[in-house]
Amino acid sequence: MTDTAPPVSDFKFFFGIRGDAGNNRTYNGQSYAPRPWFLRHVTSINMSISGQTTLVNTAGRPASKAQIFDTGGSIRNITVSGFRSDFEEQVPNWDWVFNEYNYYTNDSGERVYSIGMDFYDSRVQTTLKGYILSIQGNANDPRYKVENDINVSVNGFSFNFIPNQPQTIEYTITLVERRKYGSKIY
Amino acid sequence: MLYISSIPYDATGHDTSFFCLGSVQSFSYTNTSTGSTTGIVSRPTNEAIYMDSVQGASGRISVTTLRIVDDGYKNNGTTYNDGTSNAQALDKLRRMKELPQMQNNSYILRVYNAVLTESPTSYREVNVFVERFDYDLAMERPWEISLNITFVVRNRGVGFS
Repeated sequence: MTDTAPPVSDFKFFFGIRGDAGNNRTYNGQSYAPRPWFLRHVTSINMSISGQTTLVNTAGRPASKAQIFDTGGSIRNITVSGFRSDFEEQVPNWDWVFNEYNYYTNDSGERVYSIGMDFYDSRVQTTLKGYILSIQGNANDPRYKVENDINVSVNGFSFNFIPNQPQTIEYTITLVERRKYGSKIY
Repeated sequence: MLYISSIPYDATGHDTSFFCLGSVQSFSYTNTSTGSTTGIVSRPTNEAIYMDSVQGASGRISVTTLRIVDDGYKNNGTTYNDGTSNAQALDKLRRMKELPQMQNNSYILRVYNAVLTESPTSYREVNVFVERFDYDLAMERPWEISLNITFVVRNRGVGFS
């Protein structure tokens, strides 16, 4: 029997605005397309799926006779943590957070723009299609594909400067999965 | 290294009112904007509906700094000792907090060496109000104070612009 070692997964993480056509911005006479940020060093992704139920217990009956009623559907909350180093990026950490429109050439050589982290929840997200969290595993074997792209809204963002490594920040992004605006529920 | 203006942004004398808060021990930022999410019974998580909260986003910066007077250390060409004693610095911070901040536009927090790949004397600025500050006096080191300050990030003008 041949024992094939599983391929080494090389995950890439992207977060941000989707590259919708027609949303290019012009800066210094050049045209830039919207793209998500490439998160190079994700240290953890936590996902929590929960829903709301109501329990009705009946007096004089055991626990196994309790009724439950679903009062709310499932919600997925996502927390992404990682760190980012100025030396590896075209956009320094400070601008990555506080600059609304960051124009740069990405790793693929494309001229793109990405929105600063502080601005993702500054838009009316209800009427946005949503942002994207993309986990792109490089494994050829479908058994090792962890996740499809997730359509999300942003609940919060935080970061810490590490005093003895000022070029590096640790960050946490809190997200919630949601449907694309305008899509049908049923 | 952190500096802050002690006079609001559009007031006379703002440009020369910056004083040093000391070297940064920690610097953290939190932006929150909690919307509400409604899951649809029997539908998957990617069909949940998101609604923004009516309050919108707010950001807070929390810093811990160490301010040492008479420290001849020069930080990359920027004179650390700006001639302000610790007592004067505390007095300024106190007054900045005591003034009704809603009637003023913002103070400017100036962060040096925020981007190490740039010039050592470069800085980044954030418009803030002072929400809270705590400080410790080390009795055996009277030339040193440790400041814990929380700033609220706000816009430059009065109102919602």
